[in-house]
Amino acid sequence: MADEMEEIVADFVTEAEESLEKIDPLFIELETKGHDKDILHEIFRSMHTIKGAAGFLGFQHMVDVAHKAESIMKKLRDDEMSVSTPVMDVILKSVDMLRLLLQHIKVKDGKEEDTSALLQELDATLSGTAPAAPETPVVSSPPPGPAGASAGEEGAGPAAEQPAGGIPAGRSEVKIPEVVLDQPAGPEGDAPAVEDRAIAAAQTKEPSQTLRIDVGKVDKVMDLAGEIVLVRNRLMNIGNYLEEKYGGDSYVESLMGTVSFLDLVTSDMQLAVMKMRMQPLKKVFSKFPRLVRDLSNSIGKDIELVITGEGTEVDRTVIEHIGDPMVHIIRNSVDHGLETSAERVKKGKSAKGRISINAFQQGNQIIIEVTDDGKGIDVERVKNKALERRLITEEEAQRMNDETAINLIFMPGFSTMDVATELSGRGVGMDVVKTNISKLNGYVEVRTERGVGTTFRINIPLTLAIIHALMVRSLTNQYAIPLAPIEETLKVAVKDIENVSGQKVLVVRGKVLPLFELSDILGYGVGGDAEYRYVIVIAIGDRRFCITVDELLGQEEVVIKTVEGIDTNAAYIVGATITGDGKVVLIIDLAGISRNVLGLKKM
Amino acid sequence: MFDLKMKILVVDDFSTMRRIVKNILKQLGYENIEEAEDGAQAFSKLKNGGFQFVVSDWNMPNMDGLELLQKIRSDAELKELPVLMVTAEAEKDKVITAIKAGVNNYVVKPFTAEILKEKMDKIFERLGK
Repeated sequence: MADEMEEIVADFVTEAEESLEKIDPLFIELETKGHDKDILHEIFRSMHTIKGAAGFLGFQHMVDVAHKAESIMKKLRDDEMSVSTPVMDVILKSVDMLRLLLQHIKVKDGKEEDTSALLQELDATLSGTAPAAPETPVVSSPPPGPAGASAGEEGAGPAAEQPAGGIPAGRSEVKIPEVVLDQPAGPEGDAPAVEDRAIAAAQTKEPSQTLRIDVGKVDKVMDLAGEIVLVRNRLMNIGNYLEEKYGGDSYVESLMGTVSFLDLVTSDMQLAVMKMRMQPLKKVFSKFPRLVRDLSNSIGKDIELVITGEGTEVDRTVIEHIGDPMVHIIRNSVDHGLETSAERVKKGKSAKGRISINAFQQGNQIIIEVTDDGKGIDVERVKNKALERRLITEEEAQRMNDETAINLIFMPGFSTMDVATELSGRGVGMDVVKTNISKLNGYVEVRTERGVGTTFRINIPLTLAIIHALMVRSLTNQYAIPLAPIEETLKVAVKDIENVSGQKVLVVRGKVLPLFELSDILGYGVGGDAEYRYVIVIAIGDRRFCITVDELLGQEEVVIKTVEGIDTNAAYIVGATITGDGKVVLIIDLAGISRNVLGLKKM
Repeated sequence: MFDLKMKILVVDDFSTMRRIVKNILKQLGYENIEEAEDGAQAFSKLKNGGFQFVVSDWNMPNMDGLELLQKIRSDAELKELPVLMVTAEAEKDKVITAIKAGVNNYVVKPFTAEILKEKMDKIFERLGK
């Protein structure tokens, strides 16, 4: 029981200190904002909470100080008193005193503080006879009492630096499951002050199930986890080499054992870090009902929005970047997809249009679908528009199948409405959607049926930083090809590759698939006259195609690093990575290839 | 006497307070105690079922004790659930509001195990259990 009590007291000290730290920045905010009810209430609440717990634990001095300070805060909050410097001074003094008292409890020095002067001052403030401050023995801001210095507390002000465990005032931070900061997820986070946070975390003995951590720090951990993956890959490479050369040697054996354990732990760590960054899509979806309501009001369409799967969790980078493209798609559906109520009724549909958003996880992919039950996309109109805009030639339009034609809407400069309406904006159209989603290594597909509706299906990988890749050689260069869209790899005799009106094709399991040389796509031309080619069968959405390479080198987990200075969109590159043997290798953008090479050759 | 095995939810945003209340309940012989950080979390836990008693703080972020109480009372499944409200000091207006909202009893911080037992006894006496 005594131990239990001690633990509770320790918890109390930590939590009360935390609570006081949390209100520190509020005082600063209050100074700039002046009277703000929410802030005043927040400070009130902290005092109130501390008082409540202190009462149970018999810390009467704390109860007294907190009670009076709380009463003042209540008066301020309820407009019975106005915020002024002398009043805030007294409150700040109370905060400092509470800290001091907590410090005594923490170090168990048994020291008593004389709170009478402060209590008098608080009383005077409460009864409105303040400013009484100068008359009291405690002048201006430093905490009263002789033990102030010895306790190591420098209560010089709200923003004063706190001892270990302090959360610097005004620092941006997140409660992981709730808030996202507008910080780029770039790998280069700043790493200072990791220690003080670590201490803070260690000291915070399970105050709740959540821990607030600076986003930059989570990113840093993510980045480091990525680095460890790279190191692990290299170690495994070296290990394999040694095993081949010195197999049977006991040291090599134990090295291999250790490496495979490292392999296991690294995978687990990757997963854990990944989960740390995951947030529910609800954060993004929650703004859509309002959006749809406003949009439909402004153009007089009656629309119902149904959202499902908003609990699906995605990487926080996705949360940050998926909003804009989704807004575009929704706007597009409201504007172009759905008909007016009158038109709908005429067609025998319900008067109310319907947009449904659904999100779910499918293997390593997150799928988000935006479906409308509108008129569907008019393929001929899309083709005509593309012709008009000189995005395609007459001949291409003739040859183009419907699916490819519909995807023309993702081309830059395409907009089906002759006059861009207020809704869909100024020509910045679906190409932005495509670009933004491919930045997340994802892709969009469209399915549409005349008179029935359109579905935009967004596919995004679960993790953005690390992917499984097939390492290949094309001519003299090594590349990494994301494994997920690869259906199979084949070794094919060159004579089996056929040529249909200028397009190379390969019959794979009874289906004729277009075939491209990777080196050709990348602009290196077609090389070699080998008898056999390695063919990689790729499926992106409903589209399947083959690319050929000179050699398959193996499978590797690669960490995607963004490449600065090249147009990753046009170069069919999503990034670069460092391989197990230390080489820098470019990662192929299959979605980009599928989009641009298929049907729209040489654009 | 009432069931010492009943499932109790302790609601407070301050974890030390939850621990203290839990401790006191344990002194009284209750073992089946869960915690919630605020009204919203409490309500979703309650909705998952199985609770027979709620001890809730008043002042909490997101959803405070009064809102929680109102939600409980207006919920078809939960409306009969006994709720004991913890307040800091007997503020008359607050207590009246709470009673109007259907609180079963209230207890003023700080309280001892004896006081809590008394309050709980009274609640269950009135409920006729």
